[in-house]
Amino acid sequence: MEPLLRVKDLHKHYKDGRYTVHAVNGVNFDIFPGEAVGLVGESGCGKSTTARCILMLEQPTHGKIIFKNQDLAAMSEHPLRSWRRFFQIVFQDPNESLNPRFNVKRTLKEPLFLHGLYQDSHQLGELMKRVTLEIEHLERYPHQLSGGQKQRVGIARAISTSPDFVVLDEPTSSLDMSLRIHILSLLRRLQREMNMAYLFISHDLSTVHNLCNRVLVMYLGRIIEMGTSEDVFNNPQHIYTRALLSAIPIPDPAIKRKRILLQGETPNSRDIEVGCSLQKRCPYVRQECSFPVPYTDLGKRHLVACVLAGSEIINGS
Amino acid sequence: MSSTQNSIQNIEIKPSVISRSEFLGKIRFFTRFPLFIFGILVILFYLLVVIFGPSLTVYDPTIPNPQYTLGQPNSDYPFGTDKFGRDILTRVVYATRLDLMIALLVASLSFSIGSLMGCIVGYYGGWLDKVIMRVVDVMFAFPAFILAMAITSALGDTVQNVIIAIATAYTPYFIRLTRGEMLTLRTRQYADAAISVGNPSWRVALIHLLPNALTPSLVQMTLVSGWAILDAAGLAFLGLGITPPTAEWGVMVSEGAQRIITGEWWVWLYPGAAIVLAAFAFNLVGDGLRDIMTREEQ
Repeated sequence: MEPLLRVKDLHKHYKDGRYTVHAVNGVNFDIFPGEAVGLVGESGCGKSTTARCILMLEQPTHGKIIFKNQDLAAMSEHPLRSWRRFFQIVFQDPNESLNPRFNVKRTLKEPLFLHGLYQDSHQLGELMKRVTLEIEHLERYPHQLSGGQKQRVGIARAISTSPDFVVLDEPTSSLDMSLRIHILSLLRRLQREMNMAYLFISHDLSTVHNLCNRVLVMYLGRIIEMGTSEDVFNNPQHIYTRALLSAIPIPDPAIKRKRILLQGETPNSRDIEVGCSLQKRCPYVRQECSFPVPYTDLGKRHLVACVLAGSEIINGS
Repeated sequence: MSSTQNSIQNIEIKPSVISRSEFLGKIRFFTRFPLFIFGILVILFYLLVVIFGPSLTVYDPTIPNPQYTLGQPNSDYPFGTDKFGRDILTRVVYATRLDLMIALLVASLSFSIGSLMGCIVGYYGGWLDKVIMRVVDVMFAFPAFILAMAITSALGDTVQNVIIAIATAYTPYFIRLTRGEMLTLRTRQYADAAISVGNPSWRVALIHLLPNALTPSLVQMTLVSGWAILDAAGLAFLGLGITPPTAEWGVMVSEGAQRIITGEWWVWLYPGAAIVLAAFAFNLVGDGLRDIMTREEQ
């Protein structure tokens, strides 16, 4: 099958005085139609920047974003605008992502109107029903809605133009637990109904495990492990992934588990080094780590950027 | 039976009680800003004078009356007459029309042009932003009144030129305010959301962000209305812009100033008081609006 989206060698660098901050530093991955891909990593590792570059909310410093065989990064503004109906985003904080002076109707009508898809107000009613909101809410302003309702308006806006690809940028992290479950099942239902591909950005690993077919693990602007959810969660091969997964709380005090603790702090992303980005913190560091680390393919496209991937040291511990 | 009737009555009464208490709450909220209310009432009074004043006065503002020059205030001429025998009350009333019109036109002109420019340079940035902000800095280096004086003397003495001059002098205030707001607004997530649904950049700037950037400029607009009255009158007092025999507060104070030593106080006092009260009222309303907005944000 043809991938829907191919990200090729994506870089995003920011100038910070004399330094260059390497927010995204050579990211490669594909997303196929209709699949849900999780992008996990700690805060500041470049997850959101990657997503913003894919959606061309920021111009990548280098690299290609090939969406349906078109390179978005090389596209001029006008055609890019008409392509935007095929890829959308749901933001993290619905209080921030809705214009306070637009009522729900105007917010939802606008994308349809801009892409020449608007016919009548029936469409808006249909859209509201899809995200389990009432028709009456169309006249409301954001400050008259609850957090969960606002996020559903955000979702409705994203799916209004029937996109093929939606970035979910931590869509549940600003909501409380009961709403989280509701929004997640809504997202899953919409994906099934509309056959959209998701890029789900989160640092909540259990949610990602739940929703996504595949997972990308990011650390300091690079993807260090990717594979199917089962492979990555049940058989993680990168030390960083292991450390990350061992931090998920298990709601049973009887189960003991070996924690992998990394030494030190996350280095600053302007002190970029050749080789493995984890080399200063890894308990198993060796000489090869200071050279560029290629991906090891462990089968079924389970790629790991670690010299120890698949070895005794990892699997025996 | 009676108990059900009671409960039904209770239910029916409730909503009206709530709305009345809400209404009273709103009134009480505004009574915490007595100076703001006072300012609003004064401006309303001026507006009434503008609308009904000229039809209530019996004299003409410009035709001289040699029979009663420099007359003391009496029942026929409540504010007295000037050296040409013109009724001061009539002239003050007609001048209200002119001065308020100048104030509102200056405020709306500088507001609309300044906010639009501020919106564009704030959103797009780049070299245009640098050039315009340097020009704004240079204009800020001069007091607005001096700037208005220079522009008026360059353009010539007409009401229209006075409006253009004062509006130009105050436009930088609005450019700076709106630009500052736009700089923070363009990093907000709803700006990104607007781009990602396919808005062209002009729509993001003008339709999504500008309406959210105008609140401080609306306060500034009220303040500028007050300052514009002072400036227009000040220019006229110095003999620039609006010239005699037009009925204008500044012109009248200028004529009265020659009479201070000779004791005809009514010639300068009434137009002077009109200027002070108007400028005062606009400033009170502007300050009050700012207080109310910060209070409501909390």
